[in-house]
Amino acid sequence: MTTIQNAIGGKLVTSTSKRTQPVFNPATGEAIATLPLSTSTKSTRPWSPQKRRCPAGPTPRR
Amino acid sequence: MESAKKALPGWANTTPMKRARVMFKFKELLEKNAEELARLISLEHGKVHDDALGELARGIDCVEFACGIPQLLKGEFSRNVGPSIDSYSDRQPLGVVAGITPFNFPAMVPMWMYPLAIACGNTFILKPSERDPSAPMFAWQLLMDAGLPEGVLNVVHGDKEAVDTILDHPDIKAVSFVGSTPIAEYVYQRGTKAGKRIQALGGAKNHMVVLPDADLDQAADALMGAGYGSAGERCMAISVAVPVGDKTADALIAKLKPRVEALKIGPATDKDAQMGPIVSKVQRDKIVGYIDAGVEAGAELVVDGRGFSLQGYENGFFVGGTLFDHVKPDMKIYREEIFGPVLSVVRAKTYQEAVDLIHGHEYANGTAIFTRDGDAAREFADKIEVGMVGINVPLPVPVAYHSFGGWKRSIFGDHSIYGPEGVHFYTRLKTVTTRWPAGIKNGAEFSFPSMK
Repeated sequence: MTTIQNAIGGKLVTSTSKRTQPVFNPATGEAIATLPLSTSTKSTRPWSPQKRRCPAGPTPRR
Repeated sequence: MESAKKALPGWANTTPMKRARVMFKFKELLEKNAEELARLISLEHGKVHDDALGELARGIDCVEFACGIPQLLKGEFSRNVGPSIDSYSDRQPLGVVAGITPFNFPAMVPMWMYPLAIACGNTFILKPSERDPSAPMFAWQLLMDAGLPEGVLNVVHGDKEAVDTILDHPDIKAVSFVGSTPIAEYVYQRGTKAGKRIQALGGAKNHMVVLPDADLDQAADALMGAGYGSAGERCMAISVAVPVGDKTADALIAKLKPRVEALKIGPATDKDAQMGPIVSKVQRDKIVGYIDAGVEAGAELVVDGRGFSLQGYENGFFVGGTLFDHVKPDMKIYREEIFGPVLSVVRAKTYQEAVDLIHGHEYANGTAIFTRDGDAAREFADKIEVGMVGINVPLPVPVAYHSFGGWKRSIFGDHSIYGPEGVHFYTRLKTVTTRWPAGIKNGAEFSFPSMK
């Protein structure tokens, strides 16, 4: 079955996320593809969580 | 995120004319590949092929609007705002922005967002619906083929975890969302708390008022398309018909009943089908639950779509067209958005009662009035508290060079989506005031210097 990929930085990237869900053809009720549900880790590399917690530069003022 | 951030400086500094050229090429590729895109939309969403082509055409309109970005980004200039002081303003991109889109228009709604956002000089992260991800992926490929630099558009699939990550990330400056009202409100609250610009479009319960002087055949045909097209899974679908006067109501029901019974329901591969299946089993069961609730509450079920089955497609998520009469404002089927092929008729005694019904509802996305009376139509357009209004037009979805947005709890945020409002949403205004001290313009002095 087809696995739907993410598109990151101009390339198709297969997520390594363990969580997936099926994509259905609603006319037949059949599952036709698998969709990995991206996580905030580097599996799909949307960003680095470490950077998120410690932004570069001075501590942001509130 | 890293890739969108990396691509940003180069793309933001690319001239608007060059950014527009990518959109021109993208438009051409979308048109060339329309059949395949429509097939992918229908395969995973279920809507019939012509409806998928229609959705795509409205998406392409938004790409075409984005082709005009050099003109759209032009600012204002004022000479001599002070002695030899000039001032100008222009609109600059926000940075990395994101879009979260629903299942009902897998190609069009993303195109309400990313073509314009990208043309404005932003980079974009799209999180499409989990139900029908293939059409937006194919469109991404076409945009890459059109020459979009790597990382300017990124597509990430996911569920709530991906949504929350987008909403909380400090480097994402703005988020566009289209979906249901509870989630739209959540996206707005969480996103604005994180300091982002948010436009979150939510649910709808669109009423169509039918006055006694309306052409009832026209009104009935309009209700068929607007109520049952795309199986009612449209935020601009008409889900409530409000005939004024019992005579109008009886005549309208008499015209609607045979039309609803004759609806041709089938898979998108059937060229004669007018309506496809519901997107998922969960959604199908929810719609059936609403029909049950309507019957229990005492509404008159004129046409029952429950139990619809199609030979060869017994496991498909189908519901037949359903028509209720004598629906009352306190019923669940009236208060809530069903998002299925269920049309409720609520009878009003007077025009004012019809208007009061609309004003009493939490949603205010779209509405329509069918009449031949110019005075009533003008009054309706002028006074009704709804964002998008149709006069003898059942689905008043604004064209790409206007903007789309409801009122009240159908939208959270200050900007409607796409069109001129979209340009404002995806850019921020900068105003520069300039003064230059006296310089060397008078040139060299050739006369012998003397004390003056």
